[in-house]
Amino acid sequence: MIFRSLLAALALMFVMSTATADQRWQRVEAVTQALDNRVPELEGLSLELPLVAEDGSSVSLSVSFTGSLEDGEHIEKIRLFAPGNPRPEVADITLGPLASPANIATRIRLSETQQVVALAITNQDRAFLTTRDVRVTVSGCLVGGGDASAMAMANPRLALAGSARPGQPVTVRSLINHPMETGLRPDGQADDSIEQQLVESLTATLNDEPVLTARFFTGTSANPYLQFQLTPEEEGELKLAWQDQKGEQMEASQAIKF
Amino acid sequence: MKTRFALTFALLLPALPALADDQANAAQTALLAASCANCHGTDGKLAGVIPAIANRPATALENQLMEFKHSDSTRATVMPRIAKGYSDDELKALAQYFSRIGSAQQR
Amino acid sequence: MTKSNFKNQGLNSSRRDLLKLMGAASALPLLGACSSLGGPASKDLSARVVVVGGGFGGATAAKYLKRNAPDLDVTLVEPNKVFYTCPFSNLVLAGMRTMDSISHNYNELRELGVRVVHTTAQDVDPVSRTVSLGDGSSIRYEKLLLSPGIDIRWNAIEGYDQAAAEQAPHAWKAGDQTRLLRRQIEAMDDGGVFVLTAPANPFRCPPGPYERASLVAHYLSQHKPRSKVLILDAKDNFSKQGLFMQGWKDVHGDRIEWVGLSGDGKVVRVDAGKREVETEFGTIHKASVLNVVPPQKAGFIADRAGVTNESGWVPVDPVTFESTQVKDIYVVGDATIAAPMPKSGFAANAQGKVAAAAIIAALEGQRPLEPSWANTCYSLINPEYGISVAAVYRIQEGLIHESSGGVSPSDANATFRKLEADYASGWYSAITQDTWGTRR
Repeated sequence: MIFRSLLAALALMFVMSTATADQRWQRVEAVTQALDNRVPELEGLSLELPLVAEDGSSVSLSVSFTGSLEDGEHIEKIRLFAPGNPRPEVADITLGPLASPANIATRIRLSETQQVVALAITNQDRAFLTTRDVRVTVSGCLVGGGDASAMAMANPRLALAGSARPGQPVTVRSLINHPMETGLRPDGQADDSIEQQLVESLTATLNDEPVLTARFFTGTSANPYLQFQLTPEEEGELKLAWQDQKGEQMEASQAIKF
Repeated sequence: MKTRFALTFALLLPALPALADDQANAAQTALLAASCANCHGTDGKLAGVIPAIANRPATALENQLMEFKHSDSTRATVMPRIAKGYSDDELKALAQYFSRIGSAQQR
Repeated sequence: MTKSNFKNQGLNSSRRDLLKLMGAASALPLLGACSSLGGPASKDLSARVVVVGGGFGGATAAKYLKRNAPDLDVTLVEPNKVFYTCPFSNLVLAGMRTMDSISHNYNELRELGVRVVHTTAQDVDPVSRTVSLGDGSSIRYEKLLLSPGIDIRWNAIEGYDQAAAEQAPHAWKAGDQTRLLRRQIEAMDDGGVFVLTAPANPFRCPPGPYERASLVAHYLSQHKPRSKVLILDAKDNFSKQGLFMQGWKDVHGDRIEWVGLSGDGKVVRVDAGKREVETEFGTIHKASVLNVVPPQKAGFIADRAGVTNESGWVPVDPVTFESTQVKDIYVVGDATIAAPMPKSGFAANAQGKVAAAAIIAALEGQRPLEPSWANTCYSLINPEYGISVAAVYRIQEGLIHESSGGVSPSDANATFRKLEADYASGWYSAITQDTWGTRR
């Protein structure tokens, strides 16, 4: 009897804490704007992040869709937000039908302990949303060495993890070296900031057909990393093109062979 | 779900009250002092490359700790970084604590 | 199903979830479970406390339990009669120390009155409060303290399993793995490459891989001067990075090369037979000696006890180091989620003392004392060149925070570096004396 009321009390508290926990995203303007009056489903999207991040400058994140979709429906957009950062935007990823299943991994910046929000929108205008709490703490043994990297893109990298097969998903990894200056960090001079300089976008095409476009914001880590799934129907050339804020471009390509 | 429970747990943890009686204070100081043993041996009695701190005059210990904490010109290595993590009162209590540990006492 | 059958099969998941609920519930004052806070003190200092794991955390906890409450019935369960420490095992790899000099035993704990049982702990049943032991017996507890250390996440890197570790050692638990890696380093041809792969956070001993690279480079400079060290890292920032890199430049020239995450340093596949690794973007590195420091998780007994969460590590109440998931089980050391405290032997020792005090307070019906912890990690660039990180940790708003701390100055002179190298050995003598009572 006592035991049962104890469980009931706990269940109540659990429901209450679930409700409050999941409402926090509703107060984030960037998220509500992105939703644009759509009411998101809270099941179906899965977001993986460490519970405790010991280096907030680069936190591994992966988001994947595990729910069910209608025939002909696919995830068209994935948007990531870190509302506790000075600017909440992390990345916007637009997926074409070749970039399926929707499964993205990247590395993000978290300036403090917070709830990260992932939003997915389908080509039939359905929205899915999920959140994840991350505690950010700099480990006592971890003191980063501030290095001054060049303000230009360098070393574009592209690789397939495994071999491509027709109609089968293969993991594509990409990375480019760039400091991703937020424009928010003081450069040591009074009231002065280092000018913002970001890798703005990454576009992936297969035989010039669009696969995926990513827009990176201040919440994306230095040396932007993006991993996605490619389901090719035919052989050809996978091409990635990065563009920075100054309009400079760099490319990498990879043959897709069955 | 587990995370939320952990969170709830932390929020509902009662604030630690100030400990009133001397016995509790003694236990509190002993726990504070236990950290020192990692470099100075159990009860601060291991003399080696790193000096023993047990059974030394309280004023000497206190002066040294205060210098670690407040002086920027010290040539010490890790102690200035550690001493800054304690209040002056805590450092005084530690000095008193180690001054009262007899060097002949069993480890 | 008989009770013993049930125990042999371990906890099923729904039972574990229920236990977690009960563990969480017991801390909620509104449910009246914390009656001891206001009620009369119930002194029970002849209670049975079982400690599992005789490393820095467990041996320290057993010692301080018995010192501070001599009437307690304290049992330490540890399979090894001789314990080899990970700290200073890098010196063994470099030929600067013997295995004997990093070995410790349990004689002092026995003299103090701790019952030391040399067997494995196989399972924990939090309902009957029983630990099943490897010798077939079981032992009951009022309070259980686990110091599980780490287990390797086998196959987290493709191709790195137990068999691979016999050819490409991790040497991240000291003992036979340390000996094996030492033999390989000694047998390496001059002009070879020692490849060390370092994992992402969190892992045991954050500065450990970089001290290892330093000391192997020191050995090579003396015995195989044409050889190199290559570190392939799954992260871009690491412990004491600035000091290490400066030290490498000062002492080792270009002998040590470090490739971080954004330089394609993350290893995704190991071929131990060929001593080859492949990185995220498909670069193959061939090693003369391959040392894989793999991803890790809490030691297996933590999982059996139901105290780990989905991260594979153990969430604890920061004030007492009691599990937040199962009541009356305290967990210390590398297995815990105690960040910003690092996974170090020093931290485990400090946590062992806090948990011991919390167990005594709980048995006495007292509130827990206010905890504080310190941590100092020394690393050697070579025998004459030491660097350190030191910090004090306190509770702020219910969480562990660093209240002071920092690393060695970047502009220190050779005398300072030598002093810290000497203090490193002083530290080792002191912490092992404090933990096991052995003199090294």
